[in-house]
Amino acid sequence: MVRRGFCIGALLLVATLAHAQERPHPFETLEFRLGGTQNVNTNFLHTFWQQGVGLEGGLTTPFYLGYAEVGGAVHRYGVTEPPQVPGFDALLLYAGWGLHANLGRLRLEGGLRVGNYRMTFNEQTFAGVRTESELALMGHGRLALRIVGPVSLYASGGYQKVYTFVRMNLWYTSAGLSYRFQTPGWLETVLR
Amino acid sequence: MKVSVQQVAGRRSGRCFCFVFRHSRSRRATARQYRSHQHRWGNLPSPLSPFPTSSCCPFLAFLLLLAWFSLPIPSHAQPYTHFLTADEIQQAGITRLGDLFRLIDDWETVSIDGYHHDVAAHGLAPLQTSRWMLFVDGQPVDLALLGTSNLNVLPLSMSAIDRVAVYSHPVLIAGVFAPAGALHIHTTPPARGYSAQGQFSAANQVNDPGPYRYTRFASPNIDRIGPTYEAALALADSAGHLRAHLGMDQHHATDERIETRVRTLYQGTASPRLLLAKAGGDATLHRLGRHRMYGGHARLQDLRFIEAIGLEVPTDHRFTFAGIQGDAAPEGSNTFRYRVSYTSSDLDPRQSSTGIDLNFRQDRIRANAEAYFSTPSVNGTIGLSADHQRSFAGPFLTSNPLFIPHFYGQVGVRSSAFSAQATTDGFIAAGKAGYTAQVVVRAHPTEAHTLSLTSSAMRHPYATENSLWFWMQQGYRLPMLADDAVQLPDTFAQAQTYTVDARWTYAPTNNVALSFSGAYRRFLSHTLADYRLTFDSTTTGFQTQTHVRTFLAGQTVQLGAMLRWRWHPSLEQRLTYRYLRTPQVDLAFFNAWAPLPWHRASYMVRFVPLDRLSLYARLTYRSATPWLLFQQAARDSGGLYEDDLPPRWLLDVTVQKRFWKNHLRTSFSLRNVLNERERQHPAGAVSHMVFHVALEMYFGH
Repeated sequence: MVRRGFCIGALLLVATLAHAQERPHPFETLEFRLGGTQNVNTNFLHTFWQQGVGLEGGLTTPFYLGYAEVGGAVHRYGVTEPPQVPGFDALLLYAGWGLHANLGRLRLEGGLRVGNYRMTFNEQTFAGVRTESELALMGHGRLALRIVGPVSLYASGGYQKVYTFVRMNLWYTSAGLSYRFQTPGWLETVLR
Repeated sequence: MKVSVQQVAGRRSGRCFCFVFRHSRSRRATARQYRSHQHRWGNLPSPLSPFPTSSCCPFLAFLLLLAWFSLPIPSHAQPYTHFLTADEIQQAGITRLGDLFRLIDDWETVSIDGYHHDVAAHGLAPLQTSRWMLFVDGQPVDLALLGTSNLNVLPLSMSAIDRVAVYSHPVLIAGVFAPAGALHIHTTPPARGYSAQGQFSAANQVNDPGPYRYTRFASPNIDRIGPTYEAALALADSAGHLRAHLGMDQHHATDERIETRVRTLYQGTASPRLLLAKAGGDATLHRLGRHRMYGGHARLQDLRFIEAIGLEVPTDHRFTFAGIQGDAAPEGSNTFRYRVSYTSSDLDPRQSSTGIDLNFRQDRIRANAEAYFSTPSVNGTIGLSADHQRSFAGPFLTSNPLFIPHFYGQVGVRSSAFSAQATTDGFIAAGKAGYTAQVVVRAHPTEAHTLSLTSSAMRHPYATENSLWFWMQQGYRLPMLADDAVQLPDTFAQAQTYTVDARWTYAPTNNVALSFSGAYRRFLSHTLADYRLTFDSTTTGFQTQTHVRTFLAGQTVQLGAMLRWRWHPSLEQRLTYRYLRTPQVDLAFFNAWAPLPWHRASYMVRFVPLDRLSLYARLTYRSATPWLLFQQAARDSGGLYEDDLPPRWLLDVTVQKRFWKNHLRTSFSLRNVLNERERQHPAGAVSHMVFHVALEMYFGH
């Protein structure tokens, strides 16, 4: 309930701030971002696996309302000692939508993502199915500070639910750099 | 906070349980009443029938005469028809033909595995008979085989669909009278020049074990739905078009209940799945009228649940159809039309099975010729058609050909405020005569109000139903069954059906329409299977005793309402409700109809803010359904099967975006967003939320 409240509240905040902002044309720009990401909460999953530092990347573009994004993130989950289960690498590929607000050099974003969470298990130590995919839903917020020209520094946080039979409820924080540029004409035509 | 969440959940589930209990208890009480009724009256037609056989025919004959001879001015009155447009189908993220049923409010569908659908159209037939019919561009396509139909085997590309007409009442189409509803798929001609299309889709259901598979918290794996592939090529100009397509599909049987049953007769090393490959094409020629040829072939490596056997039987189902049709003057007021079609369905053992062989093949040829005339106030059709079918089943059965000649006519009259249409069809099947008569009357007392009344009477020899029981009587044997597992009657009765559909529609503007409808169906001398299923602990399937009963009587009553409105050109909403009852019926009739929910409601919203962006959502409610025939099996299975399926709310949401000047279309759907535990059949899979992705590319003008 607290998590849902947080996500809804964050989205409402951004929506309020986004109101009456100047709206760019859809697909006018693209923002590429790359950063590190870390799972920060501890729950039942972490009885068996230890989270490692991950990598995330994505593209964001203005949409008819708010923004749209696609992206991915890789996380590595090692095992606790002694190993009872295999470790796994998780790849999240997602598409998302959200609202944003510009506050001078600051930019605040909040939105929802839906994607596929693909887990690749270490089959060398444990036999069995090597990969598995599951639906993942995520709510997230991001704060970006324009540091020079089109380059920004960002920090973000999000809550992700992976719909395995025993749900994987994960909180993430991320930080990195983003670069905004004009969408090439041909690509804008495709996106429109 | 956790405590309060649990309390809320508890209150919810408690309320839910009471609701289920109330429904099932009342329906069981009704079942008891009718056991008593049957004890007293046997299988005789109900004495409470408001339409006894002897008095009904004169009544309808009078209506027919009235329409044919007495009405002052002729018309094009058509019974109420619901259309699914290509836009709606695409925006709802539908990529399989069988999933079209998700969009039809008047029809009930039940699926065991999510791929085969038992369908009952608007109270016209129970789920077990599968008597609805399919037409493609005015040609009947005989999908039904041994009492089931699988729309997915139709060799037709989803991208070729222009609209689907849903007839929730008896209807004459192309010289064939569909007594229990029909789907009529109209294809769209390809764009001029060359065009090519390709589509990929796949879906994944939640609740996989994930990494916990290696722990003591492991759960069964649930594989994905699909992937589905389609490719089509077309060439068109003013003289006609050529079009061809290929399609492949997969469906996995990983539900733990189904997989255990499947493994009894399936011995493949790969996980059990259904594999479909299909190809087809069509061509039109616009010379000397308009002529169209088409053909297709599908092969489904199937895992087909057969109730009489109580297990999934691995089969290799091959379906072929081909045909030609023409219209001498498609735009003219007087014309001549012809149609010839051939369908063949063949069931052989699947390679990875234990060798169990359903060993059944049916070939069917239909031919039809009709003349049509039209004036501003009168139109009419008169025609002849013939249906020739032959079945083969190894050494047990090579049936005598069944030849059914039809003679039919239709006349319509129209004025500014009133229109009517009368249809009659007479035929002979297996030496017995049958008929169908229908009158449609439509009135517009004011511009905003429309009243329509559709009334039909039918008398059909059982041979026309093409059911499993008919062929078993002819000598066909289902494998694995003891001699006494199926009890057939000595003769099958000639079924009589009388239907009335009434509808009032109020549409003050183009943006709002409100309608109320009622439907009554009276069934006399029908034949239905009465199953006695018990749990088989060896296979986890069922041991089935089937008693096919004939001379059954029953009736269905339905009330419905629909509200459709557009607040804005980009926002369309539709709200529907349907109430169904089967009062005063024989027990076997009641058992066959009990699995249909009494209450069904749906809310659809379609938001298209931009030409290339849409949001589609559909919320559906179905009340609880008691499956009386599964009571014993459910009790013995220790919770594996259920006989009382609880009410369920289903919410499907699809977002669709087109890119690159419409060359690329992507859809993201979440089905069963509320993550309800959905089970449509006692022996069926339990499903939860599904994430579905579709990607389509199109190149052409």
